[in-house]
Amino acid sequence: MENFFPLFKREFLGYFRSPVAYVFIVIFLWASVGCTFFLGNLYDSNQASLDPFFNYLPWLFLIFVPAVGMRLWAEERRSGTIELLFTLPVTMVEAVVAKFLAGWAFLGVALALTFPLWLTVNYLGKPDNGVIFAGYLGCFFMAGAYLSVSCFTSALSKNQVIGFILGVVICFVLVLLGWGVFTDVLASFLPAGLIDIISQVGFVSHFQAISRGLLDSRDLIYFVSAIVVGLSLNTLVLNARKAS
Amino acid sequence: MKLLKAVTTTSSGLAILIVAIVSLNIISSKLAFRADLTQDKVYSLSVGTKSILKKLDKDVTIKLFFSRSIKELPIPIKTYATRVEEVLQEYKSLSAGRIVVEVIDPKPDTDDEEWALKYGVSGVRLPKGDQMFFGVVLLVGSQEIVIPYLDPRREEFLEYDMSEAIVGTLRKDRVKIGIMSSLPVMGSGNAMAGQEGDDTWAFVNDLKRNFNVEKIESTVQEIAADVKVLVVLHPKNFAESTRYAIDQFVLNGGRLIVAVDPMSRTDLQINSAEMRTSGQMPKVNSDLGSLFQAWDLQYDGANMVGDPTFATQINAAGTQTAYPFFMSLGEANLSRNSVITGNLKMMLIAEGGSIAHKGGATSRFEPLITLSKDSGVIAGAMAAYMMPSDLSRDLKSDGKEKVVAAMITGKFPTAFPSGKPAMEGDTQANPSRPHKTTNDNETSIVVITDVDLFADGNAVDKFRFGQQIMVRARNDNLNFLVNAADFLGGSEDLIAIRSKGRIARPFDRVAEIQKNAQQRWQSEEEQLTSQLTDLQKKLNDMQAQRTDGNRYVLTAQQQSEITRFRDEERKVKQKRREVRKNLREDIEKLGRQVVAANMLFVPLAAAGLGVAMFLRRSRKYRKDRHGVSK
Amino acid sequence: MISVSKLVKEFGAFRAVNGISFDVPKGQILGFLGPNGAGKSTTMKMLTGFIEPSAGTASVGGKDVVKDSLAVRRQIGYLPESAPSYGEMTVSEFLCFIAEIRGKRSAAVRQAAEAMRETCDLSAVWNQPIETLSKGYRQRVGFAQALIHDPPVLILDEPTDGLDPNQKHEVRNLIKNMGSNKTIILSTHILEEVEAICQRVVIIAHGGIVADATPSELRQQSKFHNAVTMKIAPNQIEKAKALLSNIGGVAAVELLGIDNDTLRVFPKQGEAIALRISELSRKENLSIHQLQVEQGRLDEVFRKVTKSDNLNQKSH
Repeated sequence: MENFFPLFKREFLGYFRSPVAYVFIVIFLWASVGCTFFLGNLYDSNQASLDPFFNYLPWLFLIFVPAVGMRLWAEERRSGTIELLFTLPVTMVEAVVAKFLAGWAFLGVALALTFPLWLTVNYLGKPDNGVIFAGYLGCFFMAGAYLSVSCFTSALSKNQVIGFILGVVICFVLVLLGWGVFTDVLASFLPAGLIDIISQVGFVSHFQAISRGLLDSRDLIYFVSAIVVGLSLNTLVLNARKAS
Repeated sequence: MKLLKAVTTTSSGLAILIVAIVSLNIISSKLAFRADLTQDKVYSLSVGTKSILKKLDKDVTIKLFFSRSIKELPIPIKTYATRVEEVLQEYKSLSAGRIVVEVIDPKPDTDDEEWALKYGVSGVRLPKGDQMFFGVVLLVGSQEIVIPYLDPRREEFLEYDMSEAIVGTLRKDRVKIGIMSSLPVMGSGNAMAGQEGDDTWAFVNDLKRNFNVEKIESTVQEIAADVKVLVVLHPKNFAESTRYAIDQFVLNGGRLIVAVDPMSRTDLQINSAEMRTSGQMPKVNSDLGSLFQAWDLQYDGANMVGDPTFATQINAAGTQTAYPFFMSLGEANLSRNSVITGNLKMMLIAEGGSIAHKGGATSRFEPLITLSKDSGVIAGAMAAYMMPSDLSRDLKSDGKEKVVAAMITGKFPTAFPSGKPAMEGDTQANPSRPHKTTNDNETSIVVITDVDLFADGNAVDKFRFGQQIMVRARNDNLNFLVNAADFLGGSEDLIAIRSKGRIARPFDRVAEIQKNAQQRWQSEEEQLTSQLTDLQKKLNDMQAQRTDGNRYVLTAQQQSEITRFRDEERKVKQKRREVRKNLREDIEKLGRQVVAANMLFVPLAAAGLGVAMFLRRSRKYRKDRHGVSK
Repeated sequence: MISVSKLVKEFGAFRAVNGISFDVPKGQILGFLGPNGAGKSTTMKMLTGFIEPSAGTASVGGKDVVKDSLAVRRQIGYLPESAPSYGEMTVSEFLCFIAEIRGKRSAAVRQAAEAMRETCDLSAVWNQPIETLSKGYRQRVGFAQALIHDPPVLILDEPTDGLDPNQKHEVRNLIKNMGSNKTIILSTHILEEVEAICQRVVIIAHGGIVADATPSELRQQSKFHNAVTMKIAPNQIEKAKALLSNIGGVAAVELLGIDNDTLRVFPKQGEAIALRISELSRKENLSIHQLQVEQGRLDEVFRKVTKSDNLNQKSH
């Protein structure tokens, strides 16, 4: 893994080399702040908590995370740099993990830049900062799970847009699985036990558990597993299609 | 062949991976570790529960009835049920084998369902017609304690509810608590507890969970020896003999909680009919007089205390106003040293009084609820007549911190040195216990100088859920009472659990602005309102004249008068709207500022950084080119 | 240094590389020739570890390209076709990144990159994002990237593709000057390039090797090898043609030139006819204005070997 760090550094700094990253961060901040105040009515709720913010993030991530991930492999394949990359003394796993972690770190930066919201509720009242911390942690892990899916879909096609759309669709399904309205529909023709399992596969129930302030090993393992599965699929797809 | 091999190896690799991950998730669901990140440790079993479980000397069976097999079960309920199961397992693991947990899915038309109904677990009808059971039954020997429905909204109190139930099963005889009041706190008894139509005060139902609650008439002459804790609420017009009974109860080692009030608005409301018919102001204050003297207490029964620092918004005559006699008290006011108030967060005192220590070497005075130096007093009798806004205006600070509630501990003399007071028709010639002049061992008395804070309207919110009325605490008012009863009644374990719930965390900053705005605009607003009232009254009078006398004929003068009044009314209303808008203005301004700050600072900084980066890179390379062309 | 044995690569039913074998000793510059789609790039991708062979083995510096892929990659500097690189990075950022991946740390990273700045003459564009560079500069950046760790083996896939003649010349000089201690494989379809720099040529077509020789050996296979071209007075043309056809060892005589004043005489395989022609012309008093003996033509050989192979393939 000696080449992990240079790869990570290149990918991570790569985000900041192009103006797209800054545009992305600005739009993400506006969207999240906008949702929190205008849809979530943080101020009028008169409650010192970031629940309105955390409630909208799973839906915002649906667009923003695949947008971060779509470039990762599609661009390498389109420009042919993948051939350069995999003829350097770099293993597939190293490259996959480095790219993923760089994207994750970038999302972490974007998420951390929402800190004015945290300052705001602390200025206005006395929130439970433990719960807020847990909320951020949950968001970060969920972003990781979304990103691993996006890495995988990015490797499927040379076209970033296709990778993006596939990423959004798969993530959307994974969000839906934990969403009450959707499982109610499923419940009309599937047995209850199966519904239970299906809703456990979705992102949202695990995210909500963490964001309530209860850090449970099972939810963490779920997200880590989701990330590992996404990246394994990513590796498989790359092995099969890197040269095509 | 090679290709085939590659495909099989990669897909078998994937299969192994998936199996590994699924089994990891299954294994981890058995060996969960949890970190509770909430400030109040909402999700961790507390020391109190652990201590209760350690002391467990009987086998307890906990049956969780949950209709998990219903398909359309809302996910929050399912998640919560899983959580309940985990908590119960935690109880089991800490109980050294004393606790057995059974999880039962009562499917329709089964014995399980019948049992659920028999235990009193209430079925809730879901929209599609399924009957959902979600309740807990605790069995110890022949004794059973039922929590009919586990409300997910009470998740924060789950541990308390469970531990309380277990403590309930543990006691061979529950502590007997007597309630004596001049107000109808025990209700009419027309409906079962928690059912529709139950008008028992919420605090009584809260006490009933842990105590054997007994009503004691305010004409009682002697309090039974098996009453351990006596709650005296609003002792108004108590006879000498009743006071003697209380005196002797304390001196015999009984524990007393007493709530008195210089002006009970609850009492006033109950007696408003009397006021209308007799035209006389009813007596709505209460005092224990000589008893307080004997207990080294100085109670200012004539004056009502107020503190603008903690003023609460109330709706008076259609106007939002900050009313300093309704005080929202936080941790700074509630003594952190006492187990009774140590973990309370917010109490609402509604027009209370104050007490002080008279001095005395044999007693210790421990303030429980204290106001700030900005507090002041106003005669309690005024409150019934005057508008809240007038009362607020007349409140002047006297620079003294006042104590609203306190606990006094020590040995006290009797307030009746000459023995039992004689009274007419004395039926009980021979009291069962001899007259005591002082107590043998130290005893504690908790005194709070407000009664209204325990009224349902000030303490709880009620929701209907099917046939059940769900009661949720609005603040820690009832916890104060239950804590005091627990503490005095001897179980300190439950005190350690109580009130770690997530109580509302409103924006302090907004409240402060509102208070300031109120002070600035209040007088103007009131003036306009009174103008408006006058106008409306005049208008009404004129219209009344019209209907009385010549029915449909109005003189031109009357006509123009009415038009003029209407016009004026419109203007005043308009003006008042503006004033009210001003009241909100500062708050809305802060809201806009907060949104703007969030929208601008960091995004602009990020954009600026991006532009700077771009410029730096392009400048560098232009320089290179320049160098080359030279 | 490089050893390839019965290497096969299949893409589905299509066999892109069909069992080729060759060895490249240390210090040799090998030209890899073949029409588009012949399997040059595929072979190179297998050598550099980018794709795995379907069958056969290949080793570089004694290390197997499949089993010891990383060790192989460490010894190789590879310039992929059309020199892909990360466009948003500047030249210096990109070279520093490659230097780090190539195992350099701290100060050595900058040093290695700066060395390439000189070698590949990149000063003018040093801080420019690669995507803004001209084709020639990008190719140089690709070179720099391949050379940065001073590898014993260089594999260059069409290194002069798309360059103007001056740039091609520069690149060729660069390769020639790399010294005799490097083993180099370069693919191209420009024959003059091979003549200019390669010590050995391997021609592949349809996945198989159809020729493996030095450039001069290859030229000998040309029907133009030892052919004689001469310019003769127009009135003697017919006579000369008849006379030349009768010399022993002559395969054919061809009339060419705009003025019909030039004859080309092809020898039979392995015959040297120049001397005989000069003797004949002296004897017959032919007035020859110009006489030239040809070395042989690689493009002709190239066409011949790749076409004939094509026929063979079809007949199979």
